[in-house]
Amino acid sequence: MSSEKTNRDPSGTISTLRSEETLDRGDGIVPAHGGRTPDHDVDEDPALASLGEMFRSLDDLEPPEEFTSHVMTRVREVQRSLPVRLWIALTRPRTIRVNLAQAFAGACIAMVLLLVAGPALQRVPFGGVPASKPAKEYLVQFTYRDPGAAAVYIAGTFNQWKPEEIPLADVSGNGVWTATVPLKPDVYEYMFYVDGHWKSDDRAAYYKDDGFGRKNAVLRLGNSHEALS
Amino acid sequence: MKPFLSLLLRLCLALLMLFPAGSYARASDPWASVKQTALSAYGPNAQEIHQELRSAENAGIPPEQVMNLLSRASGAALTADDVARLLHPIIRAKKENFPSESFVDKALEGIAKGAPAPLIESVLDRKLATYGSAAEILGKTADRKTLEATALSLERGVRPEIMKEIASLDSRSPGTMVHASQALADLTELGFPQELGVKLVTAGIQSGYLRSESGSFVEIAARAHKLGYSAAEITGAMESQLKRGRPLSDLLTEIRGKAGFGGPRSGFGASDSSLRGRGGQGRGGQGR
Amino acid sequence: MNPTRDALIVEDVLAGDKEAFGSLVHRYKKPLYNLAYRMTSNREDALDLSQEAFVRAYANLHRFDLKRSFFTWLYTICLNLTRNHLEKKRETLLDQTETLERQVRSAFPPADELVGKKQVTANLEKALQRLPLDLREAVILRYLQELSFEEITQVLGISLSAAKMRVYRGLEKAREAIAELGGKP
Repeated sequence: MSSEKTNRDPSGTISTLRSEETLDRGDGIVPAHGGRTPDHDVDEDPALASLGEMFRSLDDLEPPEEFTSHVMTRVREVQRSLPVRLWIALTRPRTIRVNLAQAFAGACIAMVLLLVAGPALQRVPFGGVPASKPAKEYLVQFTYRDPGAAAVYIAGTFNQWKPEEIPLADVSGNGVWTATVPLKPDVYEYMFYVDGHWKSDDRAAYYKDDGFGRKNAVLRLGNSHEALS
Repeated sequence: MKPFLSLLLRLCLALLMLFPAGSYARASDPWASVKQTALSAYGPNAQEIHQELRSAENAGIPPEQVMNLLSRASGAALTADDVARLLHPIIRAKKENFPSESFVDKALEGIAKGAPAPLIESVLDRKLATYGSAAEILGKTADRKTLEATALSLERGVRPEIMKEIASLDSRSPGTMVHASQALADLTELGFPQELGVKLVTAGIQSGYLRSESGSFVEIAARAHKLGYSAAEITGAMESQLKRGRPLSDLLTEIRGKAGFGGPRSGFGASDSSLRGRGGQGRGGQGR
Repeated sequence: MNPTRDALIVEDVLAGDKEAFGSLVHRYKKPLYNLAYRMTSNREDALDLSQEAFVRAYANLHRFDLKRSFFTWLYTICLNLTRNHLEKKRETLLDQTETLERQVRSAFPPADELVGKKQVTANLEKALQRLPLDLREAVILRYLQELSFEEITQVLGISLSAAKMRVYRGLEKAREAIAELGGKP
């Protein structure tokens, strides 16, 4: 197990423990003298040290893929009370310096505002940030030109490469085949499936070698990082 | 009669007690359905993939992904041995904490395109190696989208040392690495030398670009490239624009004007222009 | 102050960017889920507890001291939740759960056992569950989460020597438990 196993920020700093954070857990253990090596050092007992190593070798579980989306769904529902929002607004670090007198004056103004316009303020998201981002979806029109084709489909990473799932239609009968597919912001690869043969989109912006002797078109929609949550 | 009734009653009670436990076990074990699918697809030969299915389960691959692979593989007349070959790299990928879905998708692509199992296996092995390089570049704390974007850029020909240079930049926005790697791959495809590409992308990141998208950043380079400007000229012009704190969109307007796209000319005079001379050269015309 | 990346993200979240919290969830979901799993030995409980820990962390983010490390704060929240959960569960559900799990196991042996899972691993996992909560926490943080002793002091709110003592006693007790189980440590 490597040190990265815990996914922690290696740059994490260790701050000094404040007295009020120290919890008395009732184990009756008195801290050793400053700097003195405690007697209970696992490294001094090879059998215990090797047991520790065996614990270290236990495998980690992978959290379910929907973990983050579930947490974020709940996080979006959390509404901070107005006093907390005011507290955050007044205490969070800023590039400008706010002295105590200014903060006090600000708090007084905020209190007056709260009393006068409290109900109205609560309806407006604090700082103008919407409570949650709307899930964007793009309607993408795929076009393939081939007057001689009998059946044209589109397949790619958006439909797990099922060849005959999304058909294109030649509505005007002039050999221009189109299909409109709703897709979320992400990066996709695709190809056309024409009369049982795979064809690259020769009008795509970008391509990627598919490893099987052909070229996939690369389609990028919006901010693909939106798909994270 | 009495002992018989007593026995019957006990049997009923035992059945009642077992029923919820049995349902619980079945409901919580979707792998039973996967194994059932393997059995119905391959009959006695399903034994050949039994070990792989157990490994897939232990590795934490979602059962629906394996189920999908199994049904598509059997539909395409792949043998049980073929399926085992495809599952090996997918299991290894999952054990390395890579998203198994990308690997399953690649296997499905290979199956759909009629590739033989050994070829799909080698494509998956290469993909695994690429993800390994991406993870090495990013460190294991990288989120899935960043890892996938980095791997995709490596697959599109960006050299690992170039990606490493971008990854080493301190960036607060989680999306920056995704868009920076996309921009680098796009610039590479446009024929930009990667040393210039990384210089340009670095300048962009430092000026706050590439946090939420890479399209407009690359579009400027692509349009200038189509007009016949060299990669060095484009990099120089864009860098100088960024250094002066001016928006790159001004440059795009200027390029559009030079290409005769009918867009408004930028307010820059000829002496202040970042891109000089060559209006109307090159291929011009509409973008793809 | 030289703010860490986590602290910068926390600042963004407090400034109103809820979605930025997602990157903290991404980064710490795996260690937190595993921490809860090793404490409870139950995947569903681990999932509930670790997700709840993130939600509580978000709800109380304004109380987080930006000079401290975010993950040790998060671990503390998760361990507090886990302790409460285990204490409650021990009082009410332990017997029933064990009975049900025994029934299910005998009817449907897990795949691991079918392939002959190494006895050593099984014994280590059982031994961990037999440890008192405070010692279990210490051993998990030290060896399964690979925290330094200084980090353990922050998560558990105890002194350095107490942290070392708990790890030491945890391993001693685990060794005894493994011997009772008939295995080799």
